[in-house]
Amino acid sequence: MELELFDFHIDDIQWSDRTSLVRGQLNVSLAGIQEQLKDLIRDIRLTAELARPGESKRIVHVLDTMIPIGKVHDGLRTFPGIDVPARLVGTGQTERLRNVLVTVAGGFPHPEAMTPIEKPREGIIDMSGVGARYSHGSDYFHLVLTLEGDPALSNIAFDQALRTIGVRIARYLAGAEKSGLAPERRKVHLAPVQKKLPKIILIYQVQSQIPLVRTFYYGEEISKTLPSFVHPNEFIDGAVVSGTYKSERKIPTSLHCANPFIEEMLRRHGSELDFLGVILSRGYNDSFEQKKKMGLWTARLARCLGADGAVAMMEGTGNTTVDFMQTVKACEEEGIKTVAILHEDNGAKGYERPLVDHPREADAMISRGNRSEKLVLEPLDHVIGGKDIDLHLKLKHDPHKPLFFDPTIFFGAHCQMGASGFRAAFEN
Amino acid sequence: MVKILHYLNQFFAGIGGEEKAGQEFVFLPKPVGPGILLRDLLKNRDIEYATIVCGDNYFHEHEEAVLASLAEVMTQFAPDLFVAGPAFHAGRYGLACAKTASFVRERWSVPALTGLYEENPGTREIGRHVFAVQTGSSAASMQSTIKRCADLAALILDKDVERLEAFKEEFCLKIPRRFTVQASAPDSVRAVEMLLAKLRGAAFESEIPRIEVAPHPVPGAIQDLSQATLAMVTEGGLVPLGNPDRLESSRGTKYFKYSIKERDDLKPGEFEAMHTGYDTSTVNADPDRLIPVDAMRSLERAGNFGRLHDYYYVTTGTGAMPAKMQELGAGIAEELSASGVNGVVLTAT
Repeated sequence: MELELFDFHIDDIQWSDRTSLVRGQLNVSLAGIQEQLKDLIRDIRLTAELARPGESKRIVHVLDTMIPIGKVHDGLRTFPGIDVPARLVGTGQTERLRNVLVTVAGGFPHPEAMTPIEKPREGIIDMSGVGARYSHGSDYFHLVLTLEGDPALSNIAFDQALRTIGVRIARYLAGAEKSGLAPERRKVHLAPVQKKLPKIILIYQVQSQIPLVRTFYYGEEISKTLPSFVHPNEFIDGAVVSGTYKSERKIPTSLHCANPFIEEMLRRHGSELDFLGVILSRGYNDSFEQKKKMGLWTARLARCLGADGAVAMMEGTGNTTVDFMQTVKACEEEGIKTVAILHEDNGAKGYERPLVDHPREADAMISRGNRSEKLVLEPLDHVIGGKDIDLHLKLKHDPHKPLFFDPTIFFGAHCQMGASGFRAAFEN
Repeated sequence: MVKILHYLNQFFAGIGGEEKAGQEFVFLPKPVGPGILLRDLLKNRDIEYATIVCGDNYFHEHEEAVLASLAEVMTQFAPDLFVAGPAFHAGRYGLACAKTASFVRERWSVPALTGLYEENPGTREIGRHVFAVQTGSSAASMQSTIKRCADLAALILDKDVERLEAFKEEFCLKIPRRFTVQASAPDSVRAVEMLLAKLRGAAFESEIPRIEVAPHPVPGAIQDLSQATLAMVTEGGLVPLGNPDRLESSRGTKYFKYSIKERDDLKPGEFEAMHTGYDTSTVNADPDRLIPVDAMRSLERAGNFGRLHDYYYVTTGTGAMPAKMQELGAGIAEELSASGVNGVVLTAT
């Protein structure tokens, strides 16, 4: 199963009459975007803005980010099953605007009708300053689409619309007419490894519980499914899409498509390790027995795939740590050596127990830093996406004033803290 | 010229003892008490010295207001160094010193130092980068402690990083705490490298220590249930509709009790669950499924146990800090025990 990738890196993004990629400049036509979305935005007010790395801009109320990916030839579509009938992806040719994000921001039309678990958490992307290293996407060029739903729209309809808008514009930008810029080309496939190298699986545990707190695979909500094998190329083509708004802890759609763990495994495939692929599992199972079983089934699948070792990562926080640790434990008991990645919650003063659950078997942990340590966040010049900062369902904060808060206010913070190379360590 | 701001309680400021613990926050444009000793030890420097004083009780009863006043002083006086205490083994004072020093260091990045005895509860509130000089348990060690503080202040004002580290190592409290630092590579790279080392059988160091949780002893069974008073407790966030006491929906820091006296069941529309950790719609549809008043009443009537306590207790367990939950749990247990409750049905979500 082979996928040919064409990666374009842009130097700037500008408004224009026509959407095109000329040398390093991505020109975006607002009329072109509206044309793409005309059947979707009848009940939604859309504002489009641009943001660039290093700018003094703070994007608030971020709901999701998509990386522009499109198939070069017709017949196959990226993000299968979202707004197009699903076909198997991961083969053929895919072009990507590697450092661009379609960023969907805004608020749901009826927050008062949401139960606490359904409510989106604030997700900020700071394009510069202290917050940038905690914000997924601060090193990308953004087309920010701020959506305001008409009260006639239900929350579920808005959820559906925002995802469809994101993937459609991601495909649209990827398909921009290109001139004067050669892409970086490479083929991605898990070529059979002749040498004796350790066989490694990536365990990828996501959050999927109920509408508004879920993950899609080929457009299907995976809240009640079993662990599955997924080929890395399917991730690259958008087979896994986020539908959760637990901002700081979520794996944004752009990180499902361009995941640093998958990329790191692919980079070393055939030289240092034999990458077997990904097991997609889900956490937040309701009872301990179910959590344990999810771990057992994941370990059994890894064993049957022939894994010697596993890297395990998870989306979420709190009780899903138990599902995750049961998986690590089951893998170790099956003889699969495992390394697991987690954020820590050591408290603002650093002395709390770092993890919710930590069995003896989880003896090789990678830390993403203390997510409850407070930061002084100076205001940035421009605010995009909304008029206030929602301090996690409690209070509103004026985004033009300094904020003293922990990293959980940032979009994709868990993943970005890891990508920024943060970890926690003892200090006196 | 450098500016030093010094925090003291009513006692060390010479205002009075316990009877003056309600002393309001005041700003004095001069050194007072231990501040005079400290200023004298730094007398070869050009120092503008100011003191803020607050009673021990006043601080804890009006913490937010005191910190707001401190913020104003920080803006107007703009010190180069903040000193709090030393507080020795004085608990309320130690907490106030730790909190003010942390506040100043975290919000303004102004260097802050305090002095505490190792068992002072204030040691749990020391923020990152705050210097906490180890002291004796009582003010008998004032002279030597202030001498240490002066040495430390000099090193801070001279920005003598190397000697500061050595000073910290020798004279500051060792409180192991975990903070974010920069690693050599992203998590994805370190993870793969750690796994390859683990598979090779090479040495590797897990980045997160495993902290053994103290086992919870299982209490003995209730001998005679027919005489027992039982209560219901939950971390599931069930509150009267409208959440009158504003229980947090995550990271709970409070608990409340609500009456179920003369109720045979909890009706939908009268209670709701504040909790971001589970789908609360089923509980909202029938609150008895979290606090099973209906089932407990039927068992009570059948004589399966003595009587049901008139209140249920509630907090929110999701995203909470274990130390805070231990504190809340102890509070609930103490209240229940004082009310003559013999057993608890604890529903978790």
